[in-house]
Parts: sequence; C-alpha cells; structure tokens
Amino acid sequence: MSELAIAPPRSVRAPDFEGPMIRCDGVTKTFEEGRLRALDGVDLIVEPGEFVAVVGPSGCGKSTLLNLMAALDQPDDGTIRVAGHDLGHPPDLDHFRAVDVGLVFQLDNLLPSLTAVENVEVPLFTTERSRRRRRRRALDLLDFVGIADRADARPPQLSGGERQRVAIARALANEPPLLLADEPTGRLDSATSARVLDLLESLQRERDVTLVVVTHDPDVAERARRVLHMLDGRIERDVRDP
Amino acid sequence: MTFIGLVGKNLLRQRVRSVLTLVGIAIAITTVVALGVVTTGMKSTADDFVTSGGADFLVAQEGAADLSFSTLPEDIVTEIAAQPDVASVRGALLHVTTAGSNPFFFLSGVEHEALASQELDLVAGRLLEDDDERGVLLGEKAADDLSATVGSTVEIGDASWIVIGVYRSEGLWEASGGIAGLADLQEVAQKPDTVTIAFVTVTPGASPTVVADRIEQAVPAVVTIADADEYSKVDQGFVLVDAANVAISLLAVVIGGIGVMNTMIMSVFERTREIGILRAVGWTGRRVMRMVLLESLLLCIAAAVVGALVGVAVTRLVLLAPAVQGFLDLAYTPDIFVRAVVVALIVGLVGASYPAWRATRLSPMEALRYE
Repeated sequence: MSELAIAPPRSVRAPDFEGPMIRCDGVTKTFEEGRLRALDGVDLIVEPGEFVAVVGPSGCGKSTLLNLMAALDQPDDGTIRVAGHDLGHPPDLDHFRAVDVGLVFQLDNLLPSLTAVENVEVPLFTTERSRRRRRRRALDLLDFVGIADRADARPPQLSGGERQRVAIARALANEPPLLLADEPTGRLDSATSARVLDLLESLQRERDVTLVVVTHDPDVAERARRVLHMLDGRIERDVRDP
Repeated sequence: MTFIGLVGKNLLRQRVRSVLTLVGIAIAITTVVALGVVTTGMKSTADDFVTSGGADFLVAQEGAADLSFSTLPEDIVTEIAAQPDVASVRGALLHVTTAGSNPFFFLSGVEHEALASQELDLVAGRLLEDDDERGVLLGEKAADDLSATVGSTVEIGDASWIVIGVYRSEGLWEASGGIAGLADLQEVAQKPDTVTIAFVTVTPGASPTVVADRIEQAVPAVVTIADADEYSKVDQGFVLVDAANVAISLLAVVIGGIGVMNTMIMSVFERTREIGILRAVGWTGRRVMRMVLLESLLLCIAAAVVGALVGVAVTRLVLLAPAVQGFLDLAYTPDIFVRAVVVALIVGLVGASYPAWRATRLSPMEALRYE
C-alpha cells in the first residue's frame, strides 16, 4: 500500500472540532409507526482515532445506529454529534456526508455503469472542480488500496474483494476523519476478508481515521480496540481492548 | 470523468429505450420542421405573387372566402387608377386549372397593354398582341413541363392555347403558370367583364401603405394585400396552416413530453438505489436533479438534430412529386430550426421535471433500502 501522492480537494477543510468524534445521547429510533423499536436510548462516545466494532444479533439495531451516525436517517429522539456537527440541526447534511464521513457498505454499492476509477471520482464532484485533479486523486486512491491496475474495470468485472477495495477508496475520496463500515467483509471469503481488514486497520492506525465497523465477523471484532455488544436496541456491553 | 460524461453513460446504459425515445421525439420534431418549411415556403411564394411585375400591393374583393374566389368588376381598374399616387394598375383574372402534370396551373389573364408595364423577362417569342387569338405566354418551368416552344399548341384546362412567348420568373406560381389575354381568359373561364384582383404600383416616393388605405376607403367592398401576412383578409388558408403549425408543435410537446417522462420515470425508478448511493456520498438533491434534467435535455437535443435532418430530407422528397413542384416552394429559414430546438428543449424539461423532482425527494436511506 503506497502513500497518497495528491492532497485531498482544497474545499475539504481539516477537522476543526474538539471533543469526541461521535457522541450519542439517548438516541431512539423506531420503525413501522413506533411498533418496532430499533434503538432504545443509546448513549455513546467515540473518541477520534478509535477502532470500534459493533456486534450483536440481527435486528439488534447495529446498522440503524450506523445509518444515524452517517446522517442517512434521523433519530426519533435524542441527539447525535459527529465530527463537531449536531446532526439534528444540520447546516448542510449533504456536505457533511461528502467530507466528514466515509461509508463502506456490505454490498459494495458501486455504480455498475462506471469504471472503478470513475466510481471513486463520484464523491469528488462535490469538492473538486478540476476534472484532471479528480481523476488524479481517484487513481492515487486506487493505488493506495492496491488495485490501480483495475482502474478501468467495471464492477461486474471485479472480484468481491476488489469491489470492496474500490468502495473503501471511494469512502476515502474526500479524506473524511470518520469511516463507517456496515459488514464490509460480509460477502467475502476469509482470505479476502483478511486483506480488506488489513486495509481498514492500517487506515485507522496510519492515517488516524476513526473507524466504526458493524459486523457479525468475529475476526473483525478481534482486531478492534473496542467492541460494543448490542441487544434489543441497547448497548449491553462496551469492552475496551478485548 | 466529466458531469456530462456521466450523464451520457447513464443514457447509454439502456440503449434501446434511449433510441426509441429519441425516435419518438425526432418524429415530432420532423413534423414541426416539415410544416415550418412548407408554411414559410408558401408565404414566400405568396409574397412573390403579390409583388409580381413590380406591384406594391394587390386589391381583392372584400369578404371573399379565398383569393381565387375574389370577383371585381373590370371597370374597377379605372376607378383605382384614378386615385392619387397610383402609377399603374393591372387587373388580372386568375384561373387555376390543370396543365400537364401540374394540377395547380395558375393562368392569369391581363390586358395586353398592361403586359408592357409588367417588365416580363422574355426568354423566347414576344409579348401578346391584340390580334393573337388564344395566345399564351408560359413560364419557363411550365414550358419545360409541357414540352412547349413558341408556336406550339398546349392544352391548359379544357382549352387549347398557342404559345406566343416564354418568360423567366423567380415567383414559383408565375414560373409554373402562364399569362393569357384578359378577354380570352374571361371567355374560357366564363367570367365576362370581371377580374379577380388588381396589382397596384404607386408613384415613386409615395407610401404604398398610405395609398392602400386610401383605396380601401375610396373604393367600396375591396381590401388591399401587401404581403403574405395580409392574405388572411381574403384567404383563411394561411391562418389555418399557421394554426395547424402551432397546434402540431403543442401536440409534439405533449406527446414527446409524455414519452420522455415515461423514459425518465423508468430510468429514475430503476436507479433508485444508485441515487441513494449518490446522496450517501454527498451529492445534493439539486445535483441529482441536474443529472436527470441533463439526461433528458441531451436526449431531446439529439432528437432535435435527427428530427431536423429528417425534416429537411422529407420535404425535399415531397418536392419530387410533380403535383407539388409547380405549387409549393420550400424555405429553410433559421427560425424553423430555432423553433424545433425550442420545442425539443421544452419537451425535455417538461418530460423530466417530475422524475427529477421525485429523484430529489428520495431520502438516502429509503433509496439505499430499495431492492
């Protein structure tokens, strides 16, 4: 894995907040008109640079918590602050999603008609006007995640591990301080999973990115410095240095 | 990758659907262009007719349903000539009949003396004289069509005429028609002592508009026509064609708009999850809307280009029909193509407005959950 040769877009500001990267206070989220309580008064603080795994049985609220942190959804009650932003009173949620948080999904969620490098360019449309600089940074990011030679391949032509690496490169495009990953190894074989985890871990360690990973995979939980065990919409146990 | 490149890739993903939509809009644009070319050509031909022989305007019967139905007493020519600032008046009896392959052969009957002031560009033979019986002058195009030369006999309508001369004219109706003596044509058309219209030339320095107004006031039951736009005074044909043109343009917008809307709704619906991804990586609703609108506009502009080219080709093909050649001239003016592009842009905007709005209303979470 090489270092990024090109700086992030100039419009991306450096984190200028103090305090925790994530702070949840009494976060509640229900679905089906209140009949299904996905999160039930979650309190949580994640400091900058932490590697946190969120584990628990299906339906315990892990992904819902992650989606709220990414400002993809809004809580019914409680407050969430991420990278200094109160997500309940957003000045600009689109900008927040573009530069403050990077998302990696279980399904890689790449745009199938675009090549790998074009997929990585997509978030840069919001921050970098120069087409050449967008392309240059996207290529560097692909090099960074180790698949520069697959830049012109479309998602159907890539293996599962390669697609997930493209997704990670895309999540890093605007150099966000927080990376949120929802089952990033969920559909990968063990060897590929290990390589993707190596990449995420090195990102957290070397680039001081805060990493929150929702997972069923015990290997992921083993590597994390902190593991949150969730059950029925609550954090049942918060284990540091497991 | 540029934004427009991304838009293009989106269109190319569903090639068949994009092409079918393009064809649908292109047909509508072809209709708009073809009608525009024909209408403008007709007006141009009518303008040439009004000012033929150096006339400033023509006089016709007020309230006539059609110019060819106008009937004026022959002595009205003298009455008009007596008006101030009138240099010359040429009464003409118009008789539309068949000749050769031309089903709209314009034969006009004028006094022999008036022909001299008409400054005809004779290419063969001579002008008509009083002792010519059933003599006719043919336009060059008509002479070609009838394979006629000076001295030959031609059948025009039910009557035989002797060709006295052949003239050249820029006006299509004149070039593909003929000129006969007024008395001869009155006899053939069975319209004694009448003319259809009178061509008026004003004295140098006088205003044709002022003279025309004065004639309308001084001479009862007549109207003056200075250009094609004033034809509606005696002929609703142009008004109808203009109205049909506008109606078809509107219809093109509605039908094309529905087609584009169908395509764009399908496209946005199919890409719901992808739109969720775009929103999740920070694209604003406005940027997504711009993408959808641009896809639609790109499709419609391509359709406008194809439609305009086909429109030009179709109108040229129509001109190959002998029945049309002597009657219709085509005019490819820039405003026709501007209108085609405007119609295409309106179709694109109208068709994409709802899908684009829907795309912006999708919450990232809902869109990502979409299967």
